[in-house]
Amino acid sequence: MTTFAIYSITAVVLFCVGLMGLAVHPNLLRKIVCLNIMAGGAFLFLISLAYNSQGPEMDPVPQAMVLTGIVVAVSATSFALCLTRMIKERTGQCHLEGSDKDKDN
Amino acid sequence: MNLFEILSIIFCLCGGFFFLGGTVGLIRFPDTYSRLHALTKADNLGLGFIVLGLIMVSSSMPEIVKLILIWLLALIGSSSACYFIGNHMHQSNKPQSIQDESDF
Amino acid sequence: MNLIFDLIIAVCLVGISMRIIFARGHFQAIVLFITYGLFLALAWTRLNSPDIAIAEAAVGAGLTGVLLMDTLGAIKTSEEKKMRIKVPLKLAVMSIVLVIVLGYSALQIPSDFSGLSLTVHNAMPLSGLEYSVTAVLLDFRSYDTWLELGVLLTAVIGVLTVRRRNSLTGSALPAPAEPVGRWIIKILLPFMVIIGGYLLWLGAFAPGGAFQAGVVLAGAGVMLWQAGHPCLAVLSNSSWRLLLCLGFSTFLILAASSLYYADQMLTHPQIKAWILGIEYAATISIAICLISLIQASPNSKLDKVS
Repeated sequence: MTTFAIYSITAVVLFCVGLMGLAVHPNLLRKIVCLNIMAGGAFLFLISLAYNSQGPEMDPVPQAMVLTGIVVAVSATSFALCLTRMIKERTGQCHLEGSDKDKDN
Repeated sequence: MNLFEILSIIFCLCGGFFFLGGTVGLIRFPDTYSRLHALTKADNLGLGFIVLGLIMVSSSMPEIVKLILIWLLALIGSSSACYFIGNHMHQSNKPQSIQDESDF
Repeated sequence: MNLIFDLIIAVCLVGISMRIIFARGHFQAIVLFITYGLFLALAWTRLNSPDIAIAEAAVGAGLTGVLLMDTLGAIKTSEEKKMRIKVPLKLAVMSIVLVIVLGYSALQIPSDFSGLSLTVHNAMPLSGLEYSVTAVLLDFRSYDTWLELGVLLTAVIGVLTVRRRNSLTGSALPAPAEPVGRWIIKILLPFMVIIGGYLLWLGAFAPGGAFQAGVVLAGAGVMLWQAGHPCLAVLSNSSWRLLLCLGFSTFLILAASSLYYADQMLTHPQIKAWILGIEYAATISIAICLISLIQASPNSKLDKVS
């Protein structure tokens, strides 16, 4: 058991939990939260790889990519939330049409 | 192991104890006001002890100043957050039974 | 000892993510998501990435939490019933299989690769910076940062467009805060500005840099806005737009000028001013864009003019 093993397995589990939640939840807000969980898992995997690499120091390229990715993730999230509000305003409910039979919000 | 390191371990354990107390209070206390009380008082004291413990083993003056600054900022932050939550509760006059908050 | 700490963080992360999925109320899920962000920040610290830890604590836990809460307030219905989440058996089995397959292949990755750290290490003298992550962000892979600023700007334009077309509410200045709110601004705002500047300065030789400074400043701006302080709203419409585009257009100008002088995009002469210009413009632009994402635009005039 190494730090790399622990964090890479955690990252995989987080990604799959997020994916499962994305499929299960009819509500758009919850879907966006689940997408963010998936993003966290992907970032964690990248950084655990960088942590595991041999070299004079820790690989800075994945770190820079994740820093960029965090800002991109928050901009995508905010646009998605804005679209959710628009859907709510237009249709009065915030889940996708046909995504689930029961109409609980 | 010199005196400062032993003192540092003792202070950090004290801090951990107060954090534990604050968390137990947050879970076990019945209403929002007493939960806020547990969180802000016990946790700030715990953080203070941990900062004190870290100061014992820190090597340079800027490090000590930064540690104290962290504690002061956390104090300001948690006391005003406590005020906002308490004020909101007070104004909305929510019933403070344990059932009301059970899912949180 | 460190492994125990890693295991605790890992178990907490997985547990929190499961609870987010199975939480019955949306509010509970959002609060748990903020906790998830903070645990991720701890994991970044353990993985020797303090840069990402700062950004995650400010953006992943802070700003995303504000965004989610804001949306929850706007879309909440009064008769929202709490639902129980049922996971179909097929989906659960598929997820477990996916975990096993991905986890197995993750453990098969050989550990004797060096990645790009050696390449970056050898190229460090060329960049004129002493800290490798900042050098990658602002010099070696400045394309990434440039396009990232483009994505951020596009998101802001998208949010503004959707808001205006549908006249969604929520961008008016909140009511002025009570004395405690004003007091906390007076104390915390100077600290946050100083910390932002400190992080920016630190980025040349230690963890810190444009991204972290930008997100800390954005946090300060959001705090100002939420407390109803009018100082961001007095900025005129055009100057706000100018600040929004500042980072992207600085990169554009520098890329065009380097194409003119050196026949290659974004290669730079050995002067500090180049990197500093990019860094300052990126910081201000990231801060302003993130603030705009949260309140669409602090200048409510932007919403009125159509």
